[in-house]
Amino acid sequence: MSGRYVAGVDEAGRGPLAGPVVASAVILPKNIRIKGIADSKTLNQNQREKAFQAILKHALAIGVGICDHKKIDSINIFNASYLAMKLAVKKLKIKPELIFVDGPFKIPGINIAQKAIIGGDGKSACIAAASIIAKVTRDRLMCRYDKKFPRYGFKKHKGYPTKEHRIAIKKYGITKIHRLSFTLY
Amino acid sequence: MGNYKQIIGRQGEDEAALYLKENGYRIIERNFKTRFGEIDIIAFDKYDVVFIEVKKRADASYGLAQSAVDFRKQRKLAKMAFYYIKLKRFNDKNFRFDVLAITDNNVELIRNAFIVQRGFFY
Repeated sequence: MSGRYVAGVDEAGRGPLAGPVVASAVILPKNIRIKGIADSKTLNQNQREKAFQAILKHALAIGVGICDHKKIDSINIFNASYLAMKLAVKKLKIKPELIFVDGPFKIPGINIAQKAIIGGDGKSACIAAASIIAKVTRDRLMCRYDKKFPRYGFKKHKGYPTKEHRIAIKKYGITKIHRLSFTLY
Repeated sequence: MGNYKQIIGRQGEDEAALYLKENGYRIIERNFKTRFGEIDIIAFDKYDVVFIEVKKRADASYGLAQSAVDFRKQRKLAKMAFYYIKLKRFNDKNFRFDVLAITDNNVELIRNAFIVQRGFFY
């Protein structure tokens, strides 16, 4: 049991109308509690950034996988999320013996033992850490896009379908990074 | 060798294309493929973008062809149409859905056969 490397995996960016979906895999050291790690959705931006730095400092390994908007249009957001997760795991410099995935499904195409945990980002430290890495990484990407497409408010809503975003799309049309296959019902 | 249904279907689309041209439509796409399925014909009617579903029935004993465009089909067409509109940046154009029903030898063009409540911007 001891000496087993466990990686937590989570993704960010399923719901947005624009931009990529980003997944992360994180292996944390055993027996060390990193302060400030919690489900990324319960943290404000400041807390998230602090936790992000702490994870970078203390994690044994971090992998990030990304599927862009074109890939999402091509294989749908569900498949793209799991592909991003698979890429994140492959990028880990240490091969884990066990993976905890947030959500009800296991990652297809991986030869490592997995446990799918619903609500995992609130239950497992390594999944929570992964959710923070994924979220902060994606947010930073969207802030970069904000410079390229300044009228849409990407810096604020990160591509999510807020009122401001939808009004901007009505006014200015869509950008190159919008997901064409998304329809909100 | 396609099956009987496919052959009848394809003949229907050729007939449909001809009929539409005669009625002033300018066809821009045929069998436009998306991840979700295909749009039979996309055409300009003046400056409007029209998405046309072609339904051909060999005879009327299974009901009128147009009734085969049920709610589920409408939703699917809408999804594909919105994808196309975004792809081609036709945001400023009006769009509508027509159904071209071919039953036996009777061709009927139903303009604006259904409306979709969602806008095309998500």
